[in-house]
Amino acid sequence: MTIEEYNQAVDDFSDGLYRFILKNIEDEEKAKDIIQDTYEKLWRRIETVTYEKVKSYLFTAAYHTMIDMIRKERRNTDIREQELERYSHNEQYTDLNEILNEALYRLPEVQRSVILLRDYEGYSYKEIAEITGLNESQVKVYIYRGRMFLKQYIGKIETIV
Amino acid sequence: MKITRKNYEVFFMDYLDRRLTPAVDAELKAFLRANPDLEKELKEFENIKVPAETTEFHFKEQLKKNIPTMSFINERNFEYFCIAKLEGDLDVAHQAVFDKYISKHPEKKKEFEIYLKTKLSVESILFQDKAMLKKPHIMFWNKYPLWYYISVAASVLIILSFTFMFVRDQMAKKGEVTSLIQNESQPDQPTITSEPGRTPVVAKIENRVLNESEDMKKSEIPGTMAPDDLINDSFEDVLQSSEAGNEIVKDGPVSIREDMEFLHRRELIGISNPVTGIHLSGVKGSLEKEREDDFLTLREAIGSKIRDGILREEQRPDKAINFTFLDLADASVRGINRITGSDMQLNRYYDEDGELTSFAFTSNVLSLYHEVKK
Repeated sequence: MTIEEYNQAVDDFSDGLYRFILKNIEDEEKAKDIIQDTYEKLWRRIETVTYEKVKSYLFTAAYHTMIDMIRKERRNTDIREQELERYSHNEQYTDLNEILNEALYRLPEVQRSVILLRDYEGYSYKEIAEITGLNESQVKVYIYRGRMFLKQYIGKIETIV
Repeated sequence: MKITRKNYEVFFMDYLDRRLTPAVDAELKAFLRANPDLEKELKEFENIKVPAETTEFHFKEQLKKNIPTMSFINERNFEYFCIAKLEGDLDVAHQAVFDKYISKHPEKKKEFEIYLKTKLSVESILFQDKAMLKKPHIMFWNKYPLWYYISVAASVLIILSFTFMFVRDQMAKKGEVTSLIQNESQPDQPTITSEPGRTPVVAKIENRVLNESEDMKKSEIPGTMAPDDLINDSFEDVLQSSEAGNEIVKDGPVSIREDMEFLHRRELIGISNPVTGIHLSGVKGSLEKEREDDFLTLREAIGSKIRDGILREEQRPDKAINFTFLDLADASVRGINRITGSDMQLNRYYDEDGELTSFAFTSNVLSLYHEVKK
């Protein structure tokens, strides 16, 4: 990949990558750090990664960086649980997106990631499997479980509203 | 083919398959009568029969595809169908059945609509710091180590610096010499006298110098001829005249005798003096070829070789022969291009009179432009 293609990859994929990470961890600074880290990894491998594969490479690298970061933080304190506790008391929803986001944060990380990759980036099961290191069957199961949870959560909230 | 004990098996097989013609069949029977042992063998063959078997594949149902019906969807698998429909995993047949099912079950349709809402809509979230991620575009950055490019750039800059200084210095010298000649060559103080019938050689040379400065018109010098006519027609006469003791004043700024030798040398190889601008076109005769090499200076000879060998350039407007720093820079740039595969260029620009007016160095990462001050 040339330098021009690398810079083009910044223009083409950094938005989607940032959105994917931000929706997963809900922390702008950490999301930016992961994006920078991911593109630095790409820069170090610029001669081996082709432009056709760069999007997949970026999402794979970003996903694993994010998972590593989450696991590292979880050792110290269970931030996610604290955040979920905070969100669970906020039931003043104004539209479906808020409800959906709330439900999304309550999903296990892997289910959230596969649904975000599926819905935001339109990846196939096979591509999601490559990015997350799962097999296709696992991806299908996680998407199925995630959808089930989201549907139940939306249904419950709509009933309350 | 005659039936023998060596080939009878082929005829036996054809006989058993009933493919023998009547003539061959009759021949075979005659052969069997003559060979009773083989007749017995043939009868044994006739008794061998493989019974027909009825083999059945018992897993046909597993291979068959079910034709989906409404009864295919039930309370237990409805959610699976909803998600499969949402993910686009249903084939056409199952999708048709599912659509038919939810249209007949309004409560199930409502449930499916909730599933539809779980599809995340793409949010417009932009990464604002793209510039921070981008890398500056430097050609072949990864091809060679950094010191390589630094050394190449430094070499080019050094050569160009010398070129700038040298050209400026050369132009300054040219200005001094021209002004000196102009000052010393006043029309009312000729440095040479000419008698009627003799060619006024030095006056014409001075005239050529003055012409270059364009400060004095030809008509201001009495008894002059057109310079080219003078040079072409009478230079050999001039030499002969000077040898014969023509009156030459030696108290000028430059010795006329030395000047003549200088001009003669220039004339033999048909060049211009880059400082004075005096140009003498070729003298016809064998003398030119015989003495040409003797009058090339080392600098001129090197310049000529490098121009032919490295620069391979067509005739330039300035017609200079001396090898200048600009030529050295040009040769260096071409050499670096060959080594690195880059596309650096050193271009020279001339005015209508063939005078160098400016030159420019261009590359993918650096561009320099320099105007030559006159």
